[in-house]
Amino acid sequence: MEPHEVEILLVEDNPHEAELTIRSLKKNNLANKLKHIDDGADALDFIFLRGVYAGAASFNPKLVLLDLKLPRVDGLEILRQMKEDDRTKGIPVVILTSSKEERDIIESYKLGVNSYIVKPVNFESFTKSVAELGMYWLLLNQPS
Amino acid sequence: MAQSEKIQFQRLFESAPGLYLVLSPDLLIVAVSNAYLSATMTHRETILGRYLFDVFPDNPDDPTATGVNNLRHSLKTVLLTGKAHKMDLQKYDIRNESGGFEERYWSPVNTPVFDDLSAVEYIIHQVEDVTEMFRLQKEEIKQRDALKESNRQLLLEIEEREKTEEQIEAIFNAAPDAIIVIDHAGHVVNWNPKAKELFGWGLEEVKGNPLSESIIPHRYRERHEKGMAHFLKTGEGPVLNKALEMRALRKDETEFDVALSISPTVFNNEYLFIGFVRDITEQKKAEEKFKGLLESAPDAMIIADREGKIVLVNQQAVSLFGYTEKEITGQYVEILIPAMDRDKHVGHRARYYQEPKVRSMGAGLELYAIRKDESRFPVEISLSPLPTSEGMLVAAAIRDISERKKAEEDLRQLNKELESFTYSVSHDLRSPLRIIDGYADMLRSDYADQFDEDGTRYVEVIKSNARRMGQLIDDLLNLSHTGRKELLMHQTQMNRLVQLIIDEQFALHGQRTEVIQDKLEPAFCDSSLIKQVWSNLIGNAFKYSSKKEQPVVKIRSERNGSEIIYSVNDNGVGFDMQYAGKLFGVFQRLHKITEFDGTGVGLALVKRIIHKHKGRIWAESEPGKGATFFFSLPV
Repeated sequence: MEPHEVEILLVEDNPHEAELTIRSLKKNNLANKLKHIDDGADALDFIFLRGVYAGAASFNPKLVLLDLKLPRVDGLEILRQMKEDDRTKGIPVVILTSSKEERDIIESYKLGVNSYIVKPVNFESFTKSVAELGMYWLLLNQPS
Repeated sequence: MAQSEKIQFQRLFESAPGLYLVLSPDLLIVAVSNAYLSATMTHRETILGRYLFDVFPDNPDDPTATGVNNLRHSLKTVLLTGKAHKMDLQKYDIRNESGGFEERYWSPVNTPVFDDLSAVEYIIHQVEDVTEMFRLQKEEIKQRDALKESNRQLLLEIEEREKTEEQIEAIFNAAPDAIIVIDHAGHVVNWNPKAKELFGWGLEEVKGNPLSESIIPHRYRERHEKGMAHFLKTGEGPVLNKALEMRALRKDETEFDVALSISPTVFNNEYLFIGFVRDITEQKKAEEKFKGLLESAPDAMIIADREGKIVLVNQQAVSLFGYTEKEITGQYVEILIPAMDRDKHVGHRARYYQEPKVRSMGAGLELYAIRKDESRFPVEISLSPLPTSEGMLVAAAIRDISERKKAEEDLRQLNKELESFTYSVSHDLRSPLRIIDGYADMLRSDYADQFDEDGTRYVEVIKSNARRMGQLIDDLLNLSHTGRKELLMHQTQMNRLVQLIIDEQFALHGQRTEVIQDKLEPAFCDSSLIKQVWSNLIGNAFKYSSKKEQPVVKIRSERNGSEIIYSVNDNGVGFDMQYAGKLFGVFQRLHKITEFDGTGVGLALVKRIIHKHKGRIWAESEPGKGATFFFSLPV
C-alpha cells in the first residue's frame, strides 16, 4: 500500500499486539486501509516519504497509532518529528501503549499527542477502546 | 626756762627715737615725736591741738575694732589714779595718705605728768609699733601648726603602713597558694606556711639555701639555674609572669604537678623573684578524666576557645584530619574548613558565643571539612558550649559522613533502577498478558464450535489468570508509585470521601449491606491517597462480610490527643489475631482466593499511605466475629 492510500498507520513492533489491534479495528470495519510498520526508523521513512518511500506521492492518513517502545527510533521521537513538521503536524497521532508511566503521558501531551490510550490487559476492554478511538478519529473527527 | 632752752628741749623731745605723744587731760594733742608721726603717717601741723580720737578713730571697716575704747579707758584710768598704765597689745589701725586704713599692732604705755599741785598736767602716751613682730609671731605659729600637721600625717602613714604590712603578712601566711621568695642568686628569702605544707620543708630549713636544692626535681635543676643566670645577664625570662605547669619535688622526694607563676621585682637594687605555686594534682586528674572521656567519644572531638583556637583534640580527630595533636593545637579551627567557607565561619563562630547551646552546625546544609592533605570530606557537626574556669569553650563533635553519603547515593541509584524496573514491568509485562488474554479470546470466539465443555473451561482459566496477573501488576505499580509520590495535603471532608466509596461499593455489590456512618472528623491529608485507604478498608469490610445474612459496616472517627483515629468495622469472617502481623505485608493473604478474591496488595498500600502521613494503622478481630481496622492521622 502506497503512503497516499493509507488511512491508518499502525507502528507496533510486537506482531501479536499488532494482530490484536488490527483484529479489534477489523471487527468494526476500520482496518481496510491500514498499514502496519514494526520499526521506528522505517516508520519515519514512510511518514516523511524517504528511503524506500522516496518519491511517493503523499502521506495524509486519518490516524497514526504509535507504540512507545520501538526498535531504532521510539514512539515519542516519531511524535516529536511529526508535530514539528508542517506537513505532518495536522495528522492525528494516538499513542497506544501498555505504559501507565506518568512521565510518558506528560511528555506525549507536551509534544502534542492527540490522544494517549493505555491498553487494558483485558481483551474485551481493549477491543472496546480500540473500536472507540477508531470510530472517533476516522468517522467523527473533522480534520482541521 | 628761757625761750631758747624751751625750743631746744622741744627739738630734743621731737627727735627722740621713741614714739611719744603728749596729751592734755582733755585729750588734746600737745606734742608729738617725729618717730610717732612717721609711724602713724601723720604730720605735726595737722594734728597738734586736735582731739586725740578725731585724729585716730577706729577702722570703720573693722567692726571688731576696740582701739579707741581701750585707749580711752586707759587714759581715764591714768587721770583718775595718777598712775602709769601699761596697755595690752592693741590692734589699732592707722589711716594712710589715701584715706584707707592699714593694720597696726601697738604696745602702749600711758604715763601721767604732774604739775606743782600734783594734778595731772599731761599724759605721755608712749607706744611701740609691734606690727612686724606680731606678723612674724603669727607666721611662726602657722609654721608650727603646719609642722604639727605634717607630723601627724607621718604618724598616720606609719600606722597605715604597719597595718598594710600586717595585712600582707596575714595574706602571706593564709594564702591558699604557696608563696616562695628567692633572691637574685636563687636562694630562698621567704616562704609561707602553705609552702611548708606543700613541700614539707619549713622556712628555717630552706632559708638562705638555693631553691634548686629543695623543690625542683633533680633533672630540672640545671635548667633552672641556667635560666636564672640568663635572666640576670640579659633581663630575658621566658618563664616569667606566665602561668606554667610543671613537676615539683616534696621533701620526701615524691613528685607532683604544680601550676606556677613567677614575678621578678627589684628590692634594694637587687632582684627578688616571687613565685606562686599551686598543687594541681586534682585538676590534672580531672583533666585526665576529661581527656579519657574525650578519647572514648566515637566522633572526632575538637575543643576551641572563644578566639576559635583549638585547645584540645582527641585521637579520632587526629586520625580524621591527618594532623598530629601538636600541629593542630593552638591553630584556628578554620584550618579544618574548606577555604571558601572560612570567612563565613568566623562570623558564625562569633554568633555562637552570643547564644551558646547544644545544637547541630549548619542544620540542613551540606558541610565539608578538609584534611591536612587538603582532601575534602562531608561531615556532620554538633556543638556544645563547655563553660570552664578559663572561660567558655566550645566542643565540636565531628563525624565523617562519607560512608553515609555514599550509601545515600547508592540508595538513590537503586531507587532509580527500581523505577526503570517498574517502568519495564509496566510496559513489558502487561503486553504478553494482553496477548495471552487476546489470543485466548480469539481461540474462544473463532474455534468455539471445536471446544467441548472442558476446552471452554480451560480457555476461561487462562483468561481469568491473565487478568488476575494484570490486576496484580497494576496494584504493585500503584504501590510503588505511592511510595515515591509527594503528598499533596488538603483539609479533607472525610464524610464526602467515605460516601463516594460506599456508593461505589453499593454499585458493585448491591445495597444488601447496612452501613452505619458517624459524622467523621475532617483531616489534613492527601485526599487522593486517603481515598485509596478508605476504598481498601471499606471494600474489604464489604467483601469479608458479604457472606453474612445481614452484613453491617460501621465507620467511625474519634479525636485522641494530637491525632484522629478512624475505624472501619464489619461483622464478617474476621481473622485470627496471631496472623495480625502478616496483614499489612505485600502478597499476604489470610483467606483462600476461592473464598475471597484479592491480590494481597491492598493493605500493604494502605499501610504505606498511612505511614507517609505519619499516622498509625492496626486491626482487631476474632475469627467469625468480624474485624475492625483503625488508622490514625496527626492533627
